[in-house]
Amino acid sequence: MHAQNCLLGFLSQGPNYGYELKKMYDSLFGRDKPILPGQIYSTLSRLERDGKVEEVEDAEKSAGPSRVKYQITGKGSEYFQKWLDEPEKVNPHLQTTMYFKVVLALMSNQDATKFLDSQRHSHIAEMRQLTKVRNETDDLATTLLIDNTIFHIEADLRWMELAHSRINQLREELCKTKA
Amino acid sequence: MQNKGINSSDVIIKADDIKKSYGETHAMRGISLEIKRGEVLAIMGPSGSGKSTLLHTLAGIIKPDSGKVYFSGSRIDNLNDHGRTMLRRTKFGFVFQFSQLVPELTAIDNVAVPLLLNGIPRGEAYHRAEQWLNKVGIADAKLNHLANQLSGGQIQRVAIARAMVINPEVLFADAPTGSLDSLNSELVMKMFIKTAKENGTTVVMVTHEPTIAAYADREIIVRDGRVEA
Ligand SMILES: Nc1ncnc2c1ncn2[C@@H]1O[C@H](COP(=O)(O)OP(=O)(O)O)[C@@H](O)[C@H]1O
Ligand SMILES: [Mg+2]
Repeated sequence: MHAQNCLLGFLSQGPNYGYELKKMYDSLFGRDKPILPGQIYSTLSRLERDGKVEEVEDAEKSAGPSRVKYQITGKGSEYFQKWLDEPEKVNPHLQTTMYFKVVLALMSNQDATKFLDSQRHSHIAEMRQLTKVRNETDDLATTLLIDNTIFHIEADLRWMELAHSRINQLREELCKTKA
Repeated sequence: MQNKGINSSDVIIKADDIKKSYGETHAMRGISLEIKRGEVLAIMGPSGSGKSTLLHTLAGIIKPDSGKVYFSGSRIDNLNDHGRTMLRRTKFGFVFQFSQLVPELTAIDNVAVPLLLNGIPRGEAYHRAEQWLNKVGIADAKLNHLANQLSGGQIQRVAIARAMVINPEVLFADAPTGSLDSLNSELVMKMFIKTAKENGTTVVMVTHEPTIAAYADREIIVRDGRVEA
């Protein structure tokens, strides 16, 4: 799922080649685990099948058959934007998704703080709900489990706050990746 | 949106484009907000973002450089000292991170003082102070302890009783549990919000802790002197 949105995010900056997309992915998200070229191409063909990206006429076509250039379609942009705008449900593996969204929002020249703020309200709403349940229960086991969830949500929120404070720095870093 | 709410009875506090600078520091760059009667609002944001300045301006303690603050439909940003003092004695209550109880007075003395200042007879004042201390969970055995013999959690409870004893319409709190550990924070907040809701008291509290903001009905985020949408 991330692979699709990543490629759409990259392509929202302008048309590009599969090989370049892989390089971008690895430098931003592939720290421990570079993405396989096969996965890039299968993701691209799935996106093409669904009408989210399309091949473009390429002036440098002479470079060889494997160098196909792709661009994002209106449908692809819409799909990507919807993913970006929708706050994520709280879950233990959210860190990566939040990081992906911040980076991809910045890469597509959007205000990443908007995403962070709506995500933040959604997290606090969840925390408010849990706090309410905890206030109303007499059961210690339930209380302890809720404590734990609340502290996980708090960790996400702290991360969002720091990411917010570091957003300009991150934007500059990403400009270097683009160049 | 314009004009909406100034006279509407369910809005208790309204700020209209308030600004405040300290020399080159712009603590508030134009903040507008409405707080509903009975609402518990959390003001969040990084330190230095202007939260305390906003809270004190809403409470009529700080005069904004420009903009207006309304309480129950009347301007309070341009009150004289007397008007401000009356507001603070009769309508507003305050709880701070390190609540300054008078250390050489007992718990019950500290809570009775605001009533005595308002001219309530001594017997009545002490009776009400005792009721409030019981409500916030201070045991009878502690009523006559000196303030400086109480724990952090007990001090904040006494401070809440002292703020609530005049039956304020709005309670302003600045990091009310900022000096407490997790369990005491939870116990104090639970009691605090329950008490406020039972009395229909509007609460405006500053906190940078999400776990505390989660007790509020709504939160706003202040960043660099502005409220984020
Ligand atoms: N009395 C004052 N004199 C000078 N600067 C002040 C004063 N009060 C606050 N400030 C400055 O205004 C900004 C906002 O402060 P404050 O409202 O206390 O923020 P917060 O409560 O969010 O930490 C800060 O930069 C602070 O240093
Ligand atoms: Mg402050």
